[in-house]
Amino acid sequence: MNDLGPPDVSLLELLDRLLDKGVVLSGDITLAVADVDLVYLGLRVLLASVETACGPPAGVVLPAPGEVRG
Amino acid sequence: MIYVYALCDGPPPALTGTAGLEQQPLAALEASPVAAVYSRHASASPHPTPDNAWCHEAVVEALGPDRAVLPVRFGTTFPDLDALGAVLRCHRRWLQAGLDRVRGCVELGVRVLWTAPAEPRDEEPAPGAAPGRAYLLARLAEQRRSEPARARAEHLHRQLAAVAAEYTRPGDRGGQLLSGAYLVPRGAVGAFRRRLDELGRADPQVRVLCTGPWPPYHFVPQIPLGEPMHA
Amino acid sequence: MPEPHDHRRHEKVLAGTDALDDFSRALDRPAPALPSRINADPQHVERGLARLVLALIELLRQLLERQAVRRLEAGSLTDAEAERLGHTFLLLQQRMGELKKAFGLTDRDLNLDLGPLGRLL
Repeated sequence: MNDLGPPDVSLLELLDRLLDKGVVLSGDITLAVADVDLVYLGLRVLLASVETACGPPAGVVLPAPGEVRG
Repeated sequence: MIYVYALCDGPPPALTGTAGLEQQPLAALEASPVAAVYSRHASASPHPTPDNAWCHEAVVEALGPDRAVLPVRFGTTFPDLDALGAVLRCHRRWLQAGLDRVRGCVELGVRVLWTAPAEPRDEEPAPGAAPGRAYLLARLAEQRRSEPARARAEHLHRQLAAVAAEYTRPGDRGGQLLSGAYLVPRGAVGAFRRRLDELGRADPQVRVLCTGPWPPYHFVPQIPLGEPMHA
Repeated sequence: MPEPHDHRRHEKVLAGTDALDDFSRALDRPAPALPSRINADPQHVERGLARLVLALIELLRQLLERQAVRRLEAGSLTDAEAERLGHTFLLLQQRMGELKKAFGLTDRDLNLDLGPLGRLL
């Protein structure tokens, strides 16, 4: 952000929203700060394994066995 | 590669007037009653440069105000339309509910800074005899100093929340007193801004920043994690 | 291609144009300049993990510290207990400082965004 010259509050507010908010579809979010991706991946893998053990909540479809998205 | 900007009420609008990233044309995939707006790209994901960010935002804004729009996070890509379509169909109810929730509303961002009055820090005793206890006492003093600030923030927030349909819990990010997003029906934006101005004038120690109107970035549905099965 | 950054600066600001400098300082956000896929090089992964771990430790530390301060305020700590607790937090703060320095992490780095769960700290 240091190369913007005078402070661009509109841009900062926009990026705050575009990069951290908005709908997260289960596609490939390929922005990294790699460490944040680690958190998301971890949660997804954890949830998938719990669902495999307990059965899915209504309306959620599981990946096919052996299918890994990442 | 498919790059997705937003989801909206179907049928999708005419998209000829606006260009997407890399000047690519926009298209829409319909999964009734929801539509996704996207563009096609050859190469890997875009960088969040200022130009790309404003471009993405312009696409989202071009879809309203005649229909409900859910902005999609920057950088959302799919390998092909089948993959995107599968996700839309799988989560159709969540997305429909999400659109219903924000229809007719815009998001307004509010941040408030507080200039704390300079106070003599007299309660810091020489650590000497009991440094551990002194440390805890210092933390306590710090907490006490910020209480009036927190009460103010709570008051401001409650005043604004009364004019909004929904709001995020007012966080405080470090030096900011209050940081929140409010989902406001279009017709109430004027009243919201007037109230914010009044609150700012009433309290000379606060500086108020209001930005918007934004698409409802903070008020989108959390899609349950879990992958759709490919037929 | 013309780059109209200037007019966009005020485009979204509805109120508060007199204090933009202060607000932009306060709106600290990590530079969004790393757009690649997960970087699997070992040093990067290590630093990413260190950041996660330290962020969690920092969160716990703050929670525990707040607990201790509450008990101090309520008068339910003896002087000896207060001294022991405070001393522990002092040491922890020191140690955290050393670890942050070793991994080149700032306080801002530890304030992770957990998406739907909000910011960590």
